[in-house]
Amino acid sequence: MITPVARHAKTGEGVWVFVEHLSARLSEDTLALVTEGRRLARCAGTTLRVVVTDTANTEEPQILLQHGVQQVYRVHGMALEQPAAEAYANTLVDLLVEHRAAILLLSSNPLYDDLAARVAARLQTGAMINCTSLNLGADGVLFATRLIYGGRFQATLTCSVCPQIVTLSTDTLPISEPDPARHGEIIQVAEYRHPTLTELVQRVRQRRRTADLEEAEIIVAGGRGMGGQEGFQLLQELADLLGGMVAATRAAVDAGWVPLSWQVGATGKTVHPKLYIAWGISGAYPHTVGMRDSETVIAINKDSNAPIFSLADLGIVGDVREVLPAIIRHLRQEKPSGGEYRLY
Amino acid sequence: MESIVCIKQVLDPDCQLELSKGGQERAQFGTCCRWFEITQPRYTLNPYDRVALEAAVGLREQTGRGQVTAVTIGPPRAQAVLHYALAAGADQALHIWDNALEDADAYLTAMVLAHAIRRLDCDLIICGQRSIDTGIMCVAAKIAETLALPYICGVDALELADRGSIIAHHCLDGAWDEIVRCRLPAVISVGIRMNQPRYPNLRRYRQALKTDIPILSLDSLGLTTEALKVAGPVIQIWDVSASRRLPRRIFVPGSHLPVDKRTQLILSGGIRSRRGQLICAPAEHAAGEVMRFLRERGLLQGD
Repeated sequence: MITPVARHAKTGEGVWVFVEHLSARLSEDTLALVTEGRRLARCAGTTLRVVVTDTANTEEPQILLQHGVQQVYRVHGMALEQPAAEAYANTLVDLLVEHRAAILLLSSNPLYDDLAARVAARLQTGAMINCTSLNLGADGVLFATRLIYGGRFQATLTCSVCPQIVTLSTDTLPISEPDPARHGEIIQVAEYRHPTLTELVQRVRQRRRTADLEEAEIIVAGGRGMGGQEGFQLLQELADLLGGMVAATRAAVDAGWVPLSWQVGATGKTVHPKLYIAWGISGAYPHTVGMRDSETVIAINKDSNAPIFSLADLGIVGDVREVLPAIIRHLRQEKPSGGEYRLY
Repeated sequence: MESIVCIKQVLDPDCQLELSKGGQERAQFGTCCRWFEITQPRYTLNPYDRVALEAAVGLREQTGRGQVTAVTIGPPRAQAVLHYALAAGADQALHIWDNALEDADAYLTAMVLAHAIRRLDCDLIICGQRSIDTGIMCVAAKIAETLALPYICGVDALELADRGSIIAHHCLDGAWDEIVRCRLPAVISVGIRMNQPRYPNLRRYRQALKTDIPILSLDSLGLTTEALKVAGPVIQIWDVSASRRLPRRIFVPGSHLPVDKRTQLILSGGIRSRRGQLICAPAEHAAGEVMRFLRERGLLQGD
C-alpha cells in the first residue's frame, strides 16, 4: 500500500474561475459559476478572480464585477487559431502558477473537462471532473461530490495538492443578483502565447440535436393556430434549418397532431432554450409556465391581444400559414448548403 | 501503425452494489471499492475502451501493417479484459500489477502506464474518454503530459493524414466542434460514439484464453515504490453514499422586491413580461424582421 508523502500545499491564494465564450454572449452558466465561486471565496476568506478571454462582449467584465468578482483578468489575443483546450490550458497554467491559485472552478462540458484534465496534469495536481456540489472544509480543503457507478452513488473527493481543480455542473446552481455598487479591478493580460502540439484545422458551429426537449437550445413550438399536422411538418423544416427541435402545446397534442412527448407546459415538459419561437400559441398560463425561462422568445399569432405577446421579445401579428413559409424561404436563401456540417 | 490501447476492467454497473454498513473511518486513496459490499462481483471491460480497441484494430486494417497492444493495470482478474482484447483483434497484451498499486488513483495509474509505454515503440496511444465506474477522465491527459505528446480528447472521428499526422474531430461543447490535426506519436481519448465495436471472434477468444499473459510488476518496469510515493495519488475519497436526486432550479423572486410583488411572482410562476417589439406587417416583411432579429442575437446556425 502506498501512503503518499503528506503534501498539503494549502498555500494557495484565491478562487479562480475561467470563462471563455466562442460566441459573444455572457451565459447563465457563467453567472452561476461565479456565484458559486463567490460563496467559496467568502468561506475561504479569499478573493474571487475570473479569467475571461477577450470577446466582442465588452460589458462582460463589468457584469462580472457586479456579481461579486474582485478581479477580472482579461486575456487578450486569446488564440482562436489554436485548438481551444490546449491553448487555454497553456495560458491558465501560467496564470495559476504565477498567482499560486488555491482553487480553479470551471463549468462542466467536454471542453472544460478536457481543459481541467490538461491543467491538472501539467501542474501535477488532480482534477475532479463533473461534480455536482462543492463544500469547503478547514484549511481551504475543497470537498467535491460527484456521481459514480452510473449515478447510483456519489463520492466525495478531495485533492491533496493546490490548485484544486474542479469542473462543476452548473444546472442546479443559483445565480446571485448583480449589485451595481460593487467594484473590482479589471486587469488586462497579454496572452501567454505558446506553440501548441496540436493544430486547429477548423472550428465548426453545430447545433446539437438532443433527444431531450429539455436540453434543446432552440425550440419552435406550435399551438392550435397551426391548424393541423401539415403545419407541424413545416415546423420540422424550420427546426432543421435552425438546428432545433419542435414542441407543441396541449391543444395540438389533444388534437392528435403531435405526440405527447412534444408537449411543453404545466402538464408537459419544462424547457430552457436559448430561443423559443411560438407559432399560433395563445400564451395561456399552463403553456407559458413551461417555457418562461427561455432566453429569447419570438411569437407569431394572428390575434394582437394574445397573452403570448407580453412574454415575447419579438411579436409578429400575422397568419402562421403565411409567415412560416416566408421565414423558411429566407433561411434557405441564407444557407444554400443547408443542413449540418458533414465530415469528409 | 503501432498502437497501444489502455484498457480497464470495471465493475459491471448493473451488478449488485450495496454500501457496506460499517462505513469507513478515514479517507482512502484510489478506488471506491472499499465502501461497497459486493456479494457477486461482475466485471466487464469499460465500454469506452471497447471503442478504443475497435479504433486501433480499424487503423491497423486500414494501413495494413503495425501491431495493436492492449495494456491494463489491474489485479490478476483483469486478465479477462486482455483476453477480450486479444479476441477483438489486439496482437499483444500487457498486464501490469503490483500490490503497491492497490490504492492507486487515476493519476498514479496514468503515470505507471506512461512509464510502461515509454519503453514501447508506438505511433498512437488510445484510451477511452472515461471509465464508467468512477468516471474520472484524466488518464489520457496525464499520459500525454508525462510523455510530452500531443493529445486530443473525446475523438469522434479520426483520419490518417499525410506526413505522419492524424486529423481528429471532437466536440467542445453543445455548440462547437473542432477538427484538429497533430503529428504522431500522439495520445487520443475516444468518445463512445466513435465507432461500433465488433463482436470478438470466438476462435480468437478460445486461443486467447489459452494464452498466459505474464503480469509485470513495478520492478520489471523499473519503477520503485519510492518513486511512486513521491508522485503519489492525489485524489482522496472521503465518503461514498447513495446519490441524491439533483435539485431542479426553481424560480425564486428577488429578495429586493417588496413582499406583495414577490407573492404575485411566486403565484404566477415567475413569468416575467418582456417589453418586446410588436410588428403587424405583411408576411414577407415580418419574415425579414425575424431574420434580422435572429441575426442580431447570433442565433442563426453558422454564427
